[in-house]
Amino acid sequence: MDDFMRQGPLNDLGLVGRPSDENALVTMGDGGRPMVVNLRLDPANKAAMKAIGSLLGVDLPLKANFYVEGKGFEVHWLAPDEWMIVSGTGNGNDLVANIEKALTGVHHSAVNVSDNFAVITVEGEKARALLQKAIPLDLHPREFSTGMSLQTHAAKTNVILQQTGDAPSYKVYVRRSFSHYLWAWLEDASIGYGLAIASE
Amino acid sequence: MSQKFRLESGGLINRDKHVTFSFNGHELKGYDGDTLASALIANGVHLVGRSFKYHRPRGIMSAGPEEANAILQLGEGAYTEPNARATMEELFDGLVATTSNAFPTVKYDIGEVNSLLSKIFVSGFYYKTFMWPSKAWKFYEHFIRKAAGIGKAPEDHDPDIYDKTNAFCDVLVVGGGPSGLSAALSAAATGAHVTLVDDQASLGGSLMAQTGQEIDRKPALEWVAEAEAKLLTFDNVQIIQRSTAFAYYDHNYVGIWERLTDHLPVKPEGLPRQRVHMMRAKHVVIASGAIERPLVFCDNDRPGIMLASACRTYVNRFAARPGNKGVIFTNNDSAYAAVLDLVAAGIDIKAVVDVRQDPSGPLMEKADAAGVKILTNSAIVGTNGRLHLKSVEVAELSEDGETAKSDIMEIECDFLGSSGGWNPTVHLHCQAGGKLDFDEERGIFTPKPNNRTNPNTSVGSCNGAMGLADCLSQGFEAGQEAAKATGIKFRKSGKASSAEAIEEGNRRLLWLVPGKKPLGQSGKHFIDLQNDSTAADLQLALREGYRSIEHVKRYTTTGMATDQGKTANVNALAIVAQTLNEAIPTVGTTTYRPPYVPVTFGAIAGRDIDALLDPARTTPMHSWHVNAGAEFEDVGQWKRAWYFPQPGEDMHAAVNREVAAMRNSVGILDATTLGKIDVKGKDAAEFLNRVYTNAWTKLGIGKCRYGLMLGEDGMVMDDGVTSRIAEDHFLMTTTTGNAAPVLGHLEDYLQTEWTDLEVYLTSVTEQWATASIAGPNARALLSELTEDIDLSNEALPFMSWTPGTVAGIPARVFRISFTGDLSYEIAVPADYGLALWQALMTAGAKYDITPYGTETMHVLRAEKGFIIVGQDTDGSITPVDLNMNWIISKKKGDFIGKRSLEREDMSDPNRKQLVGILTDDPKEVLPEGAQLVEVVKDKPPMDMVGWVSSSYWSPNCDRSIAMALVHGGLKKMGQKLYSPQPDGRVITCTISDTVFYDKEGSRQNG
Repeated sequence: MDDFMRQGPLNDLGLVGRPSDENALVTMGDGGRPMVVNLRLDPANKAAMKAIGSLLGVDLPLKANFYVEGKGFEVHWLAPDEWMIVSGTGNGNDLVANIEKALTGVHHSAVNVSDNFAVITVEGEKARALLQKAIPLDLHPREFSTGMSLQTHAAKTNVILQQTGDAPSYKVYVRRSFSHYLWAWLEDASIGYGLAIASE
Repeated sequence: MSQKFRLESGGLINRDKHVTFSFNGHELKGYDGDTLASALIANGVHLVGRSFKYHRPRGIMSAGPEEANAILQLGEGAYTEPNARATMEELFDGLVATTSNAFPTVKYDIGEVNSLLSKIFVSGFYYKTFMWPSKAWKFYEHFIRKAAGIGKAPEDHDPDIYDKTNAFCDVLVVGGGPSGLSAALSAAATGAHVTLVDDQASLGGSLMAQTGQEIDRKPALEWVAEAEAKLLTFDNVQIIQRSTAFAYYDHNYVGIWERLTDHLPVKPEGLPRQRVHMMRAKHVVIASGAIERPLVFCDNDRPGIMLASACRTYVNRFAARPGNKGVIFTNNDSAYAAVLDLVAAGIDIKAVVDVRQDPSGPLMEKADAAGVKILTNSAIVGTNGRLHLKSVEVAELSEDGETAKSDIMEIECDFLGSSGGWNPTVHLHCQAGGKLDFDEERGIFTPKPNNRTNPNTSVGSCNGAMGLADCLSQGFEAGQEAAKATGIKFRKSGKASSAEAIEEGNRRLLWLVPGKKPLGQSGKHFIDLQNDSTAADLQLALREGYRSIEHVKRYTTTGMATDQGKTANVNALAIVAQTLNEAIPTVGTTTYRPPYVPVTFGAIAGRDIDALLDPARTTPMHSWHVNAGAEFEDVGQWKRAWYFPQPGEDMHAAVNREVAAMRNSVGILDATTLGKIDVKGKDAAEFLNRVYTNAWTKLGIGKCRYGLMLGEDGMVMDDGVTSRIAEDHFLMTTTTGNAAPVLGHLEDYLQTEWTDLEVYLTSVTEQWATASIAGPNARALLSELTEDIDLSNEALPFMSWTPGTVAGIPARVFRISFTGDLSYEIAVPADYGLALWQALMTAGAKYDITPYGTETMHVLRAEKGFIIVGQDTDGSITPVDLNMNWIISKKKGDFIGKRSLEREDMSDPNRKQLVGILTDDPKEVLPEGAQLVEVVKDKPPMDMVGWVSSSYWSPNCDRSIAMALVHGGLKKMGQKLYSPQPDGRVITCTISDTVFYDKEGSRQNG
């Protein structure tokens, strides 16, 4: 497949080459097109959990609202029996096939949802204040910090929010059809902070 | 001559910074630190408005949020704002204020004639008079609304920006007076996250209006400054000034309204004007203070009559004299604090009229010693002065206080301060669900502690503690306890500040001060100044049989104005209790509801306006549709292409062209928006058996089937095609608008009812982009773009699917049809949606491929009699009503809605049933929603037998087609029905079946 045929949802926004505000306190950007697979599995099935753990190089996290990193994979806890597996490279269909092989005969569901999401990156001094306008959960570091990931809503759409660093920096996974709306909402909310556009 | 009423010295104003403002077109001067009200008073302006009903001249009556008279219009043009309280608006250079309710001017107001007619403008007047004849209300209403309104809404788009944010803290302290500061200090020292909210420009609350107070043996304001400085050293403390905690909801969710730029002469461009903080606090310390209660006496509304505490605030905080000669009217000792400060400021206090027979209290004693004339057991029984108070009439009270003696003493004065005691500001406590105790002795409602749902503590004067010493200690303790209760790692917070305790003195509760004549016969005892309701109105309501205080409130409109009766309500209910001879707590209070003060709509809306009001969901092909000039239709939150007009085409022409083009060659539709759910697990087929009416077990891999989903009530809820991917794997589609509700519905059953089923659901709506090509050339077109799919009718028959490659993209190709024509739905990973679409358009050029939108889709499906759930069904329609008995499996076990379908009523032959409708004149297109009758009468009402659910012009049938839900319609084939139209025409039509085109189905199967 030719890569030029692939169009991420944020491409329409024309972010490349967009000028940034001077002294911007927030930087937003297109988080690209990671591979994403949604996995449903009963965590009580120890053997299956172990099989998946060795496939991904990391055990599926059981602690609510945390993500872990394995060999090339990030695994986000979404629900007691649901995880989101993310990788910067690779094809979701291949991972689904590998999971199905590892879990032969075990009740599970692995679905390639790589095209389901847009990823918006938000970072900088005012990143938390900006997201706090949209998100009704407390993002203060004593409640939410690097290494955590949660499902919530931002303005009027569902998101998965991941804190990736202490800057602070975040990734916002949003369903692609809502991504133009959410970008516009966050950009509007950055008023007074100054906004820079991440150059990749 | 400027600021004649400004004191030579004193006050918390900055005399180096002059401010110029305009009031009713006059340019006036004030100082930085003034409010609009204090600047007006310093300029000798008392007359600021006309009352709501009687248009009586009114003046500034308070110095705080309780203001009922000085409700002004601020700003001009798009920036104008109604209902601003002059007492709460900080003065700035260039401020423009006008009187709201006067025409042509505040001094000569035409509406004052209402005052002469006041005998007929009693409570319930509008209800009684203008409701007859009933139809005329629409006519009256127009004039009444125009005459009655206070303030004007801006006519232009609000140019300001309003921000909104979520916020969190351990301890929220509401109020920056002594109690609140004390609480914030002790809570902050524990390490808790503290937010202090105060509605003024500077902290200190009541201390700013009191001179001579000491805390920790230093001047109180020095203590305030130190407290503020100390709080700012904590990084766990946030102080939000110029902010009002206006609403207290469950789970300690408090709305805070912050005014960021209202006080600035030049508003910084691009920055928000106001911000709402949606605060979730673990514990709330309410230190909202108390509001002085006016005495209710005859003609108590003239300009110059104000609260005693307001007189004191204007003198002490703003160095503004409320007048030259004053009288204070009181039933308690606190008003003497005002007396002493006014005297100290050199103002001539003509007398203190005290209703108490034997007044006591340290402040009274001080005033007495200073030689102030005190008239005990006396009352003001009348006042004089049209545009400004000129004199008051004083008489001695009878023993029981119910009448006044006839000897009248007239005292000349130009202002009057009245005090009936202090009402704790219990609004937030009550909004949080808290209950009240009634303090018989002081005649006040105080908060009952211990709210388990919404942990909070009231401290200081809002808790009934009127002495400074108690305020400080209550605040300190509550701040510390609040922090402890939130479970944080706790540090001890030191020691409370202290102040000298002062006795309160005695009081005489005289709710209704007698006039010269019995109530209502001469003059008016106003209760609610803003809504012009009087004690006589309350008594009338009681005579007419109203008993509940909530009904009395609504009938008389007491407490229903923008000030929400902050100075009116307790007086009103006490007078009701007294009239009914009941105890005050028995009558009870009306409900305290948010908002505590009027909040601008802009602040509540925040940034969720215009394009950000609601998400606009777009497909990967959206930009193509936009470039092609599509008109869009909202379907749920999706923007769907509605039709693609070519130059010069209207919707009708475009749709006719699109419909014909699809049937003649090939059309293309963006079908991405349909909901898609991945169903996986060994029980997947059984699961589908239970959620759809038909049977799924035998559906082969690679095959597709249409299903109807019912609610438990047996009514059609959703429909769609589901395809079998593997033995244990299906892909379900739902209607566009129902994708999320259907997923929720299915998860609900899986997680609560059918926990035994091994099935996992995953939403893949957004994973796939879908282009649907339909028409006789669809196969030829697709064959040009795929090499690995056999498109023959044998290999890929109707209602089957196959994976493959289309235009070099991995795809799923479904041979399903919503048009009744040969049709393929091609689904690709969404990132490739646009590439797929472009490839189809390019390859389709030789077939004149025509993009079509939802309107054409609707016509095409109607030609085939395919339903749209939500258009041809309305939640009361079963599959049987749709003549779709074939889709209800008789063999399989239970499914959702089965039991309801078996109810007797469901087989009633006279239920509404879906039928086709053909107008006798084929050119006539029935309006959707049109009613149908069997017998036409001269005028309504007529017996309606049904209504038109879908109606279109069909170019392929060359006539109009329609579907309708008609009682017993299925057994009435060929029968005539009539549709009377609003313009008087009657459209005659005939009941038919619902398939209008290609009845054999050869096109889609071929």
